[in-house]
Amino acid sequence: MQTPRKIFRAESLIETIVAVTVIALGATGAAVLTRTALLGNELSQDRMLALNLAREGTSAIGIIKDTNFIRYGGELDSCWNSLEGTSSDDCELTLIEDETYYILRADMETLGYYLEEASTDDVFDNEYQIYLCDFGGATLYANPGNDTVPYCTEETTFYRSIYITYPDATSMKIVSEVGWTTAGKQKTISETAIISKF
Amino acid sequence: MKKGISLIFAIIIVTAMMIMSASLADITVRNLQRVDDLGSSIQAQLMADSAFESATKYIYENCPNAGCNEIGETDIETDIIYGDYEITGLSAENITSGDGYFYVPIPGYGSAAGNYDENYVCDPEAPGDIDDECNWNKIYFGDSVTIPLYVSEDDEFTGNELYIRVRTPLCDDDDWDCENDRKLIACEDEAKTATDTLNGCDLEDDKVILFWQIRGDREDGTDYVESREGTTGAFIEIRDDTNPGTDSEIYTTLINNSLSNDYSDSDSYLENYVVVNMDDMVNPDADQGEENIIFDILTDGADPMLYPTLQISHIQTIRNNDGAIPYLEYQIVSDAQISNDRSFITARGFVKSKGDSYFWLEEGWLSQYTNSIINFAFQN
Repeated sequence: MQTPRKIFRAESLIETIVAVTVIALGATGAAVLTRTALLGNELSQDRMLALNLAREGTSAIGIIKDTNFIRYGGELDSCWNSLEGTSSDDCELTLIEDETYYILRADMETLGYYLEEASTDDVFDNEYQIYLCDFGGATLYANPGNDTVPYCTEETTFYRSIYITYPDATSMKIVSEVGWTTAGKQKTISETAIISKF
Repeated sequence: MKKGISLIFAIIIVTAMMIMSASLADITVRNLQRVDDLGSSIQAQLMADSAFESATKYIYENCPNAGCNEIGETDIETDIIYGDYEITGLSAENITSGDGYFYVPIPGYGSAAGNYDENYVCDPEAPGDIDDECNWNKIYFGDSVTIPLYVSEDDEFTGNELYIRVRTPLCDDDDWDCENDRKLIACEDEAKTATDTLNGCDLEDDKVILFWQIRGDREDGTDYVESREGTTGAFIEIRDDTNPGTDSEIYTTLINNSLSNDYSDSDSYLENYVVVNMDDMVNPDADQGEENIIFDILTDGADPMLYPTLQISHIQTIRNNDGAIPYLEYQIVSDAQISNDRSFITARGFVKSKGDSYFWLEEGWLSQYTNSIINFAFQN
């Protein structure tokens, strides 16, 4: 014959409290994990964007060199690393200098790159800040020239500096560093390349 | 109600929530890892780019006018972020045939490869016999190739044998006039047919298709070609048969006959496809007392030809019974190492990060002395 189970006072209340506590702890843990995952996802997206900006930095210097190659083909020995110039007579006056930080700017009229000497090595300085720019309906990340700021009104949390050194007279080392802020923390990455005048 | 059932439900709910969150976290961690990998891969690619640039720089600084072989490195952080390159710019022996001769193109690097079968893969470690398509270059109408007959550390041709081999592309199903499976070039007669090409075209129909010349400098810096016209021949369209063995013309009948297995250059083991054996060539314009054998001119002890280059130009359009033949295949053979017609660069980039290694490979050609026969331009 089955014996009737003993009923203790407040048993249901204790069980409910324990269950609610377990759910609360579990939900808190899951929320923390989910938040970490979402932050990680944001970091992942930002890091991907930063990588592309850094890559663009090294590529742009190569493009400037190639443009010099076309523009000053006959005077390549002295003009391959020219910053700007209109002819072989004046190209040597503005060469990309050794151990110098530069801002890689985009001319929003032509989308051409050009370099401007920077005043600091702090990649999070305002002069290195990247903007969201509108170019014919397309949105671009760029560091615009001052005269083209109206195209680029939205600030981003990304910054990019270009550091140039010369390992020897015919080679240029480019360090493209990108800094950004994710969840209040500053992050940086850099990509490095070496180009030569040939 | 059963005792403890609400606790069991709570544990099940929490477990489900934790599994979902953990899965999300796992996906995110993997994403972060992938982005890290991508960053290292991009850096490895940049190092391969940098190594390629270094190889180009080496060539322009050390061997701009003749080929060289070189291995070099470039690094940002030793053994962590670095690259290396290999330049292959000299003619090489065919390790499959092992005949001791040096070949242009470098065996296994010929541009004629893959023309008949796009999946055909050439292996420089096993290039096949000397007539394998991997060991021949293509030359199109209007093209001109320049091959330095010396290496960058030297200034003279140091061999005793030099051959130019030329052949037409393989026949396809529509071709009916073939020799040894290769297209026969039609004579330039009115009908433009190739019915009797092996017997030779009439002289007036025997178009000169390729033109070769060797040019170099004298020790005093003057141009050797101007005074040794026998090495250049005349730039003409119709074959000059008055001085066989002295001109620079490679004409229809010569190429057609060389396709045959019966054709054999008496001094050469290479047998077919040889259209110029330099040992047969003389300089008809030599002044009295000057050398008149081209090999003697190249190595004249008192007045050697310095920095000699062989130029081959495709100057005539050609066709067979089925239509145009767009290109010919050529191969240069010598008993001394000379330069290849261009340099092959292999560049690699390496990055080591968090215990993993990342690698990027780039390969390409640098044609530092290939030029066009069209060296002038019209302008208004």
